[in-house]
Amino acid sequence: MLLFVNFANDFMQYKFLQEALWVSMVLGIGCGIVGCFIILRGLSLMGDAISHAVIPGVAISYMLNINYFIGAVIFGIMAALGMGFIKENSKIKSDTSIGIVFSAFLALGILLITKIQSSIDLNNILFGNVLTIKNEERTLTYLAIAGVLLTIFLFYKELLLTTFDPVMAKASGMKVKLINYILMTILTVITVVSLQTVGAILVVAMLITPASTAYLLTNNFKTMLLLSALLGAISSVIGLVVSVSYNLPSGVVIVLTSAVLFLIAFILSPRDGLIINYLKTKKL
Amino acid sequence: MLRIENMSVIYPNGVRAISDVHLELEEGNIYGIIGPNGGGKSSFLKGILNLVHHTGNVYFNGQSIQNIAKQIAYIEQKENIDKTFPITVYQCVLMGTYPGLGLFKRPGEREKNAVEEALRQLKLYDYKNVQIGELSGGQFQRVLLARALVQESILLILDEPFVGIDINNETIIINQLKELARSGKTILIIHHDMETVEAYFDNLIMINKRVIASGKVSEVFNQENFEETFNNYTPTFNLQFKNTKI
Repeated sequence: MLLFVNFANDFMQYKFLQEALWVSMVLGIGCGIVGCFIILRGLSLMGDAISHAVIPGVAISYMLNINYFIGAVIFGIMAALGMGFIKENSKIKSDTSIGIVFSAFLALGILLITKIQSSIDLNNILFGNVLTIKNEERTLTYLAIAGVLLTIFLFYKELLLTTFDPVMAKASGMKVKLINYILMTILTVITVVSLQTVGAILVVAMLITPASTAYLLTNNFKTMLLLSALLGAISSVIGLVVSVSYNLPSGVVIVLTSAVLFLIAFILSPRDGLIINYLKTKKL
Repeated sequence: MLRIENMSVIYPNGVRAISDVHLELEEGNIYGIIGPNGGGKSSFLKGILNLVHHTGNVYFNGQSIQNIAKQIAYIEQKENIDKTFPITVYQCVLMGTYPGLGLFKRPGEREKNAVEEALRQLKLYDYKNVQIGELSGGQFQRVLLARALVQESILLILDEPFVGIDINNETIIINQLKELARSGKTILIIHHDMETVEAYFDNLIMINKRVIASGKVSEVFNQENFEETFNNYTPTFNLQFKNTKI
C-alpha cells in the first residue's frame, strides 16, 4: 500500500511519470485487444517473430535519420509476408518458416546496430524504457493505437468470422487473405509502438499473456476482449508502479505482473482453473 | 441449376484428386455424395466452392458460382472447428448473417430475429447462451445447420454431417434438410452410412477419383456402381440394392 502512496506522490509531482503511466496503460489496452485475435488464431509465435524482425528496420531508420516507426513497420510487414511466402510455396511448415525468417532478420538487426555504432541503445530496443519516451513518440503511440482499435471496430465481424471459421468465411466469399493481411499489419503496428514500453524481446508477452488470462476466465468473446484490455492495463500500471519504486526495468516488471495474473487465473479460474478441473475429475 | 463443367482438382504436389466432372444438379434436391476415403469427395466440394485450385467452370443458374458465394453455406467436418472458441450458440449462429451484411454493417433486428427463429427450428433455443464446447457432437452439428439457415443460402454443402452423432440429432437434421430442399434449396451432402442412402436422398453422386455414376438413387445405387466406386469391395453389411443388375 505504501508503495502506491509513494508512487502517487511522485506521480502528482512528475509529469514524465504521468505520461509514462498513460502510455503504458493505453498500450496495455491495445495489446490486450489485438492479443485476443492472435491467440485464438494460433499466431503467438508469429507475434514473437515480428517483434524481433522489426529490429533491422529500427537500425536503418536511425541510419537514415527517419522515425524508427516507419522502418520498423516496413520490416515487420516484410517479415510477415516472407514467412507466409515460404510456407505457401514450399513444404516447409509454418513454425519453421517463422523461425527461419525472424532469426535472419534479428541477426541482420544486431549486425547493423553493432556496425553503425550509433546512439541507438540496443538495451532500449530489446528491453524498452517507457520513462524515456519522447513527446513525438508518445503522440505516435496514441495515434497508432487509435488506428488499430478503429480498424478492429470496423472489421470486427470479418475478423471474428475468419478467426473462428476461416473455411466457411472463404466459401461464403469473404476476402480471408485480405483480412489476414490487415491483422498482420495491425500486429506489426502494435508491436512496433510497444517497443518503447517492453522492448522487442518481451512485447509478445503483452500480446498473449493478458489475452490468455482472459481466455481462461470467460466463454464469451466480447467479454474476453474487455477482460484482456483490462488485464493489459492493470499489468502495465502495477508493473510501472513497482518498477519506478524499486528502480527496475519497466518492461520486465510489466511482463512479470501479467504472468502472475495469468498464474492466478490458471490455478483459480472458476471455469478452467487447475483447482476446479481437479475437483471435477475427483467427482467423476 | 448447379452446372459443373469439366472440373478437375489437381493439387500443387501433382496429386489428381478428381477429374473431368460434368454434372448438372437441379434445384430443390438433396444430393448424397458417396465414395471411398481418398476418393476425392471433399476435393469435389472444395472445387465447387473455389477453396482449392481447379480447372473447368462452375455455374449456378447461369452465373459464375463466385457471384453467389454469399449465399453458399458450407458446413465442413465439425471436428475441424475449434470448439474451445469463446462464443455461445447464439453468437455462433449469428455469424451466419455476416457474409450477407455489407462492409462495416452490424447485425440488426432482422438478423437477430432470424437467429432466434433458426434456434427454435433446430430445437436449440434452450442452449442459446451455452458455450459451443459444452454441446454434444449432434447439438453442435445442429448449431452449424442453424448458422446455414440464417445465411439464407440457396446452396448448402455439408461434409459428413452425420458422423459421430446420435439418431435423434440425425433425424432432426435430415428432416430440416428435406424441408429446405422442398423450399427450393440445392443441398450436397457427403455421406458414409450406406444403409441410410435410400431413406435420405433422392439423388446420388458416386465418386472415386471421377464421377462413377450420378442420378436418381433408384437408378444408380446398384451393386455394379457400388463395386466400381468402392474398388471392388463387396458390402458385408445388409445392403438391399433395389435395382441391382447382378
